[in-house]
Amino acid sequence: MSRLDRRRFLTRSALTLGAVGTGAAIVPGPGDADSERPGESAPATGALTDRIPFDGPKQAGILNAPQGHAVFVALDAVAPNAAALGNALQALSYRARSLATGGRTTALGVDEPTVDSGTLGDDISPDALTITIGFGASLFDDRYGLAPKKPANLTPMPRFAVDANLDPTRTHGDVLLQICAGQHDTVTHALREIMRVVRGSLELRWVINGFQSAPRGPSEKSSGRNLFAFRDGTANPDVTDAGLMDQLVWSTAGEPSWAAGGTYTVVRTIRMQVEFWDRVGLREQENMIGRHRATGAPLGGTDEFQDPRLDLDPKGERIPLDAHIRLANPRSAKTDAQRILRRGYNYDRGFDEAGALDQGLVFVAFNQDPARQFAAIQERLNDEPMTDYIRPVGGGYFFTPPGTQNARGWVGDGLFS
Amino acid sequence: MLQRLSRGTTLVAVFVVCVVVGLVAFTALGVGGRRSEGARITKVPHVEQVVYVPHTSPGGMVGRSESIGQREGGVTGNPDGAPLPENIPFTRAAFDAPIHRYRDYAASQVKKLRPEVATLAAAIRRGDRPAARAAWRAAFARYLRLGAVYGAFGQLDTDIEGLPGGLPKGEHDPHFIGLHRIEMGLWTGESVRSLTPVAARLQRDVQRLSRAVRVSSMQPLDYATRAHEILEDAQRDYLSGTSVTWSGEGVLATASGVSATALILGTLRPLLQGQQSQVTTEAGITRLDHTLAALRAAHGGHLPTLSELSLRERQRLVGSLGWALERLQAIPGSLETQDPATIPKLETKTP
Repeated sequence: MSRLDRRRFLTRSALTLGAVGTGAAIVPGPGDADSERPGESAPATGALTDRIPFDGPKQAGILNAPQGHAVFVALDAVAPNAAALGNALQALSYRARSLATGGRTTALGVDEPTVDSGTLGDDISPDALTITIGFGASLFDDRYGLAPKKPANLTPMPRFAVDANLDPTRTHGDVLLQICAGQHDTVTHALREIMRVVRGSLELRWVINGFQSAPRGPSEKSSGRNLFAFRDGTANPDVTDAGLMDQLVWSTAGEPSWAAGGTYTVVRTIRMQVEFWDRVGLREQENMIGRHRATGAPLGGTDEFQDPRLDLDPKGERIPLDAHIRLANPRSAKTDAQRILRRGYNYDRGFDEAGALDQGLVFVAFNQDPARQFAAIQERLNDEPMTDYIRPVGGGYFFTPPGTQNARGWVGDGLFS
Repeated sequence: MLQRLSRGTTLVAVFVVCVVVGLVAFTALGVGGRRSEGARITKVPHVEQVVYVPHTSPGGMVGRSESIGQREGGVTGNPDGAPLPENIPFTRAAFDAPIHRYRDYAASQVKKLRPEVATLAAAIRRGDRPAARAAWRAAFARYLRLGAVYGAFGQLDTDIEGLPGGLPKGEHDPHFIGLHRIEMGLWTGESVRSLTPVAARLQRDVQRLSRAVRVSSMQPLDYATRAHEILEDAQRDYLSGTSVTWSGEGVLATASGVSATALILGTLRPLLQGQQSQVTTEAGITRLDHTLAALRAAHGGHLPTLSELSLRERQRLVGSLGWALERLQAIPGSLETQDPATIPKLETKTP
C-alpha cells in the first residue's frame, strides 16, 4: 500500500474542506486555557466550559465518567482508495479535536456557506465533548489493503444464543464514533459537523442516541439507573487503578505495534421490553437481577457497594443461582480476568409496530480481549431469566486505537504509516 | 422462581388520572357490549374534577401489587372504592383441576391441528400456493391456540415454530424447519413443491405433540403466569411483526393468544371467582374479543394482516391489548400458593 502523502493531503483538504479539515475552524477564545483531562473517573462539573482534551496517550471517552448524552454512530467506508480513506480519518480527528477544544468559529465571506453550522452559536463551548473513534473488523478486509494491520483480537461480533433478533442494518460497521457530551445539542452538533468532513469516504450505517440518568443520589457515588430501574455499573472495575486497567482494558501483547495501548469496544443495542417488565412483581424483578431495586444493594444487603458474598450463598438462598449479577460476575479467581469496563447509555427511540415503547440500553464495554472477557460473560447470560425481557437488536465489536500524542496526530494514522 | 408480593397489601389509589383516561378511552371507543358483571363502567367523572393522588400515602406500598387496571370496578364501581378481596394463598392441589382442563383443551386442539397440517402438506405437494397459504394460516393459528409459552414443549416447540434468527446460517440453515420455514417459502417466490419435505417433517412433529401435551408438567405458578404471558408474547413477537416476517399474520396470531388466554382464565375461574383480578381480566379479554370481531367484520370476515391495518385499527387493537395486559398482570399475584420467602440478611460490612 502506498504511504499517505502528507503534503497532498494538506493541499487536498485545504481545497475541499476549507479550513475545517486542518482543524482551524475553531480557535480557542481568550481565557480558554486547556484544563487537564479531568482525573479520569472524576465527574465533570457539568459546566458548558468543561473541556476534555482530544489528545493523550489514550482516547478520551473511555475512562472518564460518562457524560450525560451520547450518540453512537457506525459508518462504512466508501472511499475510492486507501489514500482517500486516510484523508477522511485524518480530517475526522482534526475536526473532532477542534470541536472538543471549542472556541470561536472562523468567519468567512457572507456569500459562502459557513464553516460551522452555527447551531451552538459562534462561540462554541466544549461541554466535555469526547469523540472516541474505533474500527470494525470489516475495515481490515481486502478493500484498502489493511489486513496486515488488523488488531490481534478483533473479530466481527459473534452471534450469541440471545441474538436471534439482530438487525443487520443496526449491526457491525467499519468505523464507530462514540460522541459524548454534557448536553444533547453538543452531541448533535458534533455529529453534523463531522459528517461534513467525512462525506464521500465514510457513510452512515446505524446511529443510536443515548442518555444517562441524572444523578439522583442518595450519594455522589450512587450509580445511575437503567430503564429497568436498577442501578447499573456498580461492580465496574476502578478506573483510577492503572494496573487494573492494564490487565482488563488496554491491549498489549500480540498486537501490531500501532495497536498497542488501545482497547476493544463492545457495543450492544439491547431493546428492553420495559412495559412487560413493569408488569412483573418487584420481588421477581429483584430475583432476576440479584439486587434490591431501591438501593442497588445485593439481595439481603443494605448498601449498593456491599460485596454480595456469593461464596456465603452457594445454594442461591439469598441471591438466586441464575440472578444476573451472579452470572455476569461470579467474583471468583477464575473469572476475575473476564471483568469489563462498562460505560453504557439508556436509549429511547419511540415505539414499535405493536405500539410498545422502544426503549433500552446501549451496552458499551471496554476490554482487552472480547473473546476472553465480554463473550465469556455473555455466554453465561444466555439462559438468564431476564432474557425474556431483553432483545439484542444491534451493535458490534470495534478496536479503539490509542490516543493521539499531539495536534498533528490522528486516530488511525498508524494504519497508513 | 416467580414470586410476587401481593398479599394483603392495602391498596392505594395511584395514578387516578390515568385510570380516568383509560376509562374515557374505553367508552369513547364504543366497545362496551358484553361486559362482565363487575367491570361495568360507571359514570366517568369529568377530568377537571379528578383529584390527583400522590404516589405514596401512609401505610401504602405503591408500585408493588396494584395495577392501574385493578382500580376500576370493584365492589362499588367507584375507582376510589375498595377493591374486591383476594383469596390467596391457594393450595397447590387447587390447580389440579384447572391444569387438567387445560390439558384436555390442548389435546383437543392438537387433534384438530393434525388434519389441518395434513391439508397443508397436501396443498404443498400439489404446488397449490393459495390453498397452502390458507392451510398454513389455519395450522399456525391452531398451534398458537395451545398457548405454549416459554418452552413448555421444549425442543418440539422449536421444531414446529422455531425462527431462523438464532441459527448459524439464518434463513438458509438446514435446521430452520417447521411452520415459519413453510411461511417463508409460501410468501416468497420459492417453489411450493420444494417445501414437501419440510411439511412431512412438520406432520411427524405434530404427531409427537399429542404425547408432549399429555406429559407436559406445569407448576401452579407457571400456569398462573401463563395467563398473562401468552399475550405479553403476542405483543412482543406477533403484533410487532417480529415473528411473522413473511406472512404478516400478527393479528391472527394475537387472536390465537387471546383464545388461549381466555381458556386458561376460564379454567381458573373457580379460584378467581369474586376476586378483583377476575373482574378486571375478564373485562380485558372481552374488550379484545370485541376489537378482533370488529376487525374481522371490517375485513370481509377474516383478520387483516399487519400491513392491512389502518392507523386507527392498529391503535384500537394495540390499545385493547395494552389495556388487557395491564389487567392480566394481577393474575399471578392473585393465585399464589405461598407467601414470598423472606430474603436472608447479608451479614457483611460495607467497604
